[in-house]
Amino acid sequence: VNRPSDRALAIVVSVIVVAAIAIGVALVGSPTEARLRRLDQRKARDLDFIANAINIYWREHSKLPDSIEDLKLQLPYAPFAGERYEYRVLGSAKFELCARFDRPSEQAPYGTFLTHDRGRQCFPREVRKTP
Amino acid sequence: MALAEELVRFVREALARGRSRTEVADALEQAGWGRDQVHRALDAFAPIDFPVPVPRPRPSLSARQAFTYLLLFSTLYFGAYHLGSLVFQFVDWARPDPATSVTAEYVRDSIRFSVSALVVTMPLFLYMSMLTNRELAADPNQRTSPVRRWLTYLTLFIAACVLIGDVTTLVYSLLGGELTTRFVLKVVTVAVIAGTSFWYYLSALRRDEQRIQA
Repeated sequence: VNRPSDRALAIVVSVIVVAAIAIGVALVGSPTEARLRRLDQRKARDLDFIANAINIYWREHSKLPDSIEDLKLQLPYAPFAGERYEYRVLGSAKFELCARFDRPSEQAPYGTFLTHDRGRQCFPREVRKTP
Repeated sequence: MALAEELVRFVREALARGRSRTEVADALEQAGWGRDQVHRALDAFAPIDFPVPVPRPRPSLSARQAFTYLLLFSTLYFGAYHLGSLVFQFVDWARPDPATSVTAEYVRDSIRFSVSALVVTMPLFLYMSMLTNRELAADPNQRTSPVRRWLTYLTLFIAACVLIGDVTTLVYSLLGGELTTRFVLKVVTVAVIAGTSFWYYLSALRRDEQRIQA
């Protein structure tokens, strides 16, 4: 029975749901934006992974690796349009990792790779000598 | 579609007493039965010359109905839950909880999932509602269908449980002096969604019952 009140309810519910979807999409941002943020997160996690690997390398060899390749990681080093994660030795137990980010990070714990600004970012790190 | 027992019984008796099919059809149409219903009631018996009307095998339609109503109500539950969840996220966005520990990333993922759920369930739910309402209009006897009644009462039960839980939480927070705008907005959201569903399906059942009595 398609009574007028049924139809009115269907219209009201549809309007509310469509509005909710529209606001939701506006808050989440465009798919392009979401992808950029996701890639940034991936880079931050990769950096974290590399830093851990360097710590382990240091514990085994008592020196820093000369290049990232020495770590023999299964990481894709140039996953995003030929970008590389940069690694530089700063001292006997100090190194630096760099990557390019598309967006500044949102609130994230301070001091992790997840906190970063926009553009090329470098993170100087000291080797953690004990696990 | 289910046929009225009464109608089938009448047709069987009339045919058993030697009345012709056209006579039976005329009598029923004069009494106000729909042409379509009369036709189907007569079709329930094979036109074979035999002292007693010979019934035709009739397919049971309750499985099909169960499919329709289960799909209708599961899209309702899934959609209603995610509409509520989406409004909760908006409330948190507008009035952030200072004690929250969830990250913006988590909020975004939650919104994304709820939006996806609504995009899928909402058109399906509206379509299933339209379909069931149209079938009811075409064949009012479906109102007595046990599958429809059971599943609708089940929905009323679930909506009632949600409302009871909602009001209990409200009273609990009221007694604890923890009433914030954010909290009240969320309670109202749940009440509106569950309340609307409850009211709509209760009135549908009421209409069914009036039809049966009439």
